Amino acid sequence: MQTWGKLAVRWGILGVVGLIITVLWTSLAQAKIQRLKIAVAPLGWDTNITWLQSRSGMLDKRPALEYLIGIDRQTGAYVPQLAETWEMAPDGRSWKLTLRKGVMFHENWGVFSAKDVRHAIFLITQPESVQTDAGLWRTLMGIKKTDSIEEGAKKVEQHVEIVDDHTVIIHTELVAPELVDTLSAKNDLVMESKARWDAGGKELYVQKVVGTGPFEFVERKVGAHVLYKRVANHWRQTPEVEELEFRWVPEGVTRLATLIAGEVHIADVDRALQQDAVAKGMQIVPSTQTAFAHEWLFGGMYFATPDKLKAKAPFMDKRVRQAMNMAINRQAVADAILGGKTQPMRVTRFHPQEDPALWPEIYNPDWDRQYEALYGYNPDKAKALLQEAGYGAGFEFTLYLYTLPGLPEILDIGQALALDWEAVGLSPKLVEIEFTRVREQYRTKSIHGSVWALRGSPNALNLLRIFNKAADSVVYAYEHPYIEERLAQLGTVVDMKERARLLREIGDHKFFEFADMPMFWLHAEAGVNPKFIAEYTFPGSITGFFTHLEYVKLTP
Amino acid sequence: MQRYIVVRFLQSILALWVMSLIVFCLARVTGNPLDVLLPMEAGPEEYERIAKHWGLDKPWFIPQDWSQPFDTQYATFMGKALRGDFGNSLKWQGYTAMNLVLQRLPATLELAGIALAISVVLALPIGVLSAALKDTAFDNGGKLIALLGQSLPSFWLAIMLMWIFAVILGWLPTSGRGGLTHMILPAISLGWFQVAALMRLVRSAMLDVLDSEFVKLARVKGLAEWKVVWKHCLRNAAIAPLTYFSITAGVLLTGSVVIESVFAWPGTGLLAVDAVRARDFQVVQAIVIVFAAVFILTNLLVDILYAYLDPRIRYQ
Repeated sequence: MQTWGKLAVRWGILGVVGLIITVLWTSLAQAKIQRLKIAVAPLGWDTNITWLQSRSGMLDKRPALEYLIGIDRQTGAYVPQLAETWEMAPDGRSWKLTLRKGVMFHENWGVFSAKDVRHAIFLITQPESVQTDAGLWRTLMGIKKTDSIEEGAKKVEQHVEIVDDHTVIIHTELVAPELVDTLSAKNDLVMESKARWDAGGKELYVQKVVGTGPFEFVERKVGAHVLYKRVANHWRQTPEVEELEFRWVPEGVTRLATLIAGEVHIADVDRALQQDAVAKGMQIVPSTQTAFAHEWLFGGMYFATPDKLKAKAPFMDKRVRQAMNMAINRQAVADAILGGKTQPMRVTRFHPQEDPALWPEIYNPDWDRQYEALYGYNPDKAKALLQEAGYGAGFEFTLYLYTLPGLPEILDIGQALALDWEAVGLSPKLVEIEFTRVREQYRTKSIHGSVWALRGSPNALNLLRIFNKAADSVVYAYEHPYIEERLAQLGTVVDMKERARLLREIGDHKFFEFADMPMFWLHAEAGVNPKFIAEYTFPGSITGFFTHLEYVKLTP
Repeated sequence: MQRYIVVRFLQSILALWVMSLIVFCLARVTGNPLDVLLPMEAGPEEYERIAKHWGLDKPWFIPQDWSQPFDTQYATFMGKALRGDFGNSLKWQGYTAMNLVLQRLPATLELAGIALAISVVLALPIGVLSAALKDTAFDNGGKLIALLGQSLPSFWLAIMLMWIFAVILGWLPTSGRGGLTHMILPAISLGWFQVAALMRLVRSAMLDVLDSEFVKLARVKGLAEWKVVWKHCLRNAAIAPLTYFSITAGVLLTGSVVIESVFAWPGTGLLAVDAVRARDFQVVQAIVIVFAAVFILTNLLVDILYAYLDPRIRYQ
């Protein structure tokens, strides 16, 4: 009887254990997700209006919108999107585009056509627009700062010629051989519906993001999330997931927690937390293309503006600039702070693979060959150069420390550089400051005697126009009559080989003059939970990084 | 009593006006919003154009042209603010500043309300019993709670709670606003410090009162101990905790910045931080005025409660 009792208890325990295992097993077996959730740090902007934000604010609108020219997620190449073909006229002042037929706007706002292209250019050039490319488009359309919205619209109408519903010619005031880039998804010209504007103008645009993209806008909860649903039978790619949600999560630790807990499926994981993520079974997926560059700049390099130049400042001496470059142990910084996941940068924002796609032969192989001798880590040579320049006893300068989106490690990098410079006898004074204060200083050409850091996307010409132009520019980092002359020529020369030659000459000048302190190229990285996501490929060369979400493959 | 309330009300209006002046100036002293909000690529022409469009090219107080004396930033701000319009947000384009604050206020009220409830529900009985059972195991336990509550940084506690209960155990969501489960961790993190502080205050106030002559008399007269403690002592010990409670209410409403940030809770604390970072003057002004109004209103209510609790104040 006792034996029977014991057997019954044993079988009972076994049964309970079996039941628990079954319940656990079924709960662990993940069903395919219906809503793809992505946790990202809040953007600088939280709005449905595409022209009242800068490029980084496009991240949460891109799923619903499309561009004339797309970017291939594997190769980073320009690929047809809403424009099937594009061709520049020999004079470089007009581009003919053939548009894709039969593409519908969401919510039945009609078929995409040439008038929507003109409308997109009107939106980005209107007086209130703060989009990143707004200034460029206004210049191309000949819009003056005193022009009213109506005058601007008229100029856009004159410059954007509608040949027929699916052919449009964009005439520009200046030669614009790189317009293919400006029209692409790397930049800002998104296609929105003219019919919708005519129906309700800005009031309607505030409410929703409406485009032709693979996801249709559902709702925006300011400060919380943006939600989309998929477009069935989309002309380009129908997403596997039914819904897509961008969730704003300010803290890096919380983003990691949401990813590990399975509440989101893709997240922006801080570099400092990536090892923890991997240890918990997450994957860190790098972009296929270089995402951004990181460089340090010398303040006060106003060689083309003599009244702003302080000729006796130490940074004016090329040997000092070379010494400061040679004092930096870039490899140690890359390994210790950036996990070794960097690519060396020879000349600030001159990319060896991406720039040649626009300008063949822009990249000088000598930069690679001579880099070690001229820029490589060599504290003894750095000290000798400083001695030669008359600064054997060193000198004091300000090193600004602040964080920038996407590269919070700038603070650590700055501190590492300070140690390197102290090791060769220099006296950097570390000043923690809000970035906007530094911005005020460099845009007013008053950042003498300081070094500061920036990050940004590759594109040599954009960089030169922003950093190295002496007037009507933005950053005023290093300017020189030699560069001015070539930038002026670039305003008229159309031939891409010739443009490449001019750009390369500027690159040579910057390289051999030690104009700044180029550091690294970096890839964007996405934290992915492999329980839910089988494949996510993104180029990273598009600001905001988390693009091409319509191609995400789910774990079966 | 009526005169007391009217005077306090008029003082509150004056305080609000002074606050508006301070926030107007301080917001602008921090720098130019264009340096935050315009893209890196924006040149001098874009700066000029947008400054004009957003009215940032106008002088703060003294008009350039006296034929248009109200063509200043402050006159524009006050003119609209008096009608409840704090202007359009610079960062959250398409939204008015007040609309944003009102949209986000319920989330903060919800969180602060629960945190406040937790702090009162826990602190009051623990504080009273700790005093009544002085130097017992219960009192020592209460002291330990107070020590931990006041020494653990709220962001650390928040992250620990999140990792234990959301990531490891999977019982609760990590972050965001949703149902009741979403509120538990942020409310505990937010209320934890207040529990400790309020409990200590209740305990020490109760100890003072328990030692009073009238308490001894009540006991001598044979009143039940629970009645002595919970009715007579607590009411007399309430002034100090009440003062702290009014501060706590304000702090919980305005000081939830860290917790809202850790738990991605879309409330006004997070909004305030984002607006300050973006130098979104309009939103900063609207938030500070609303917060100030909440503080002033809470203090006004507490002053009235003082008068109710303490007849000496009423008859002054």
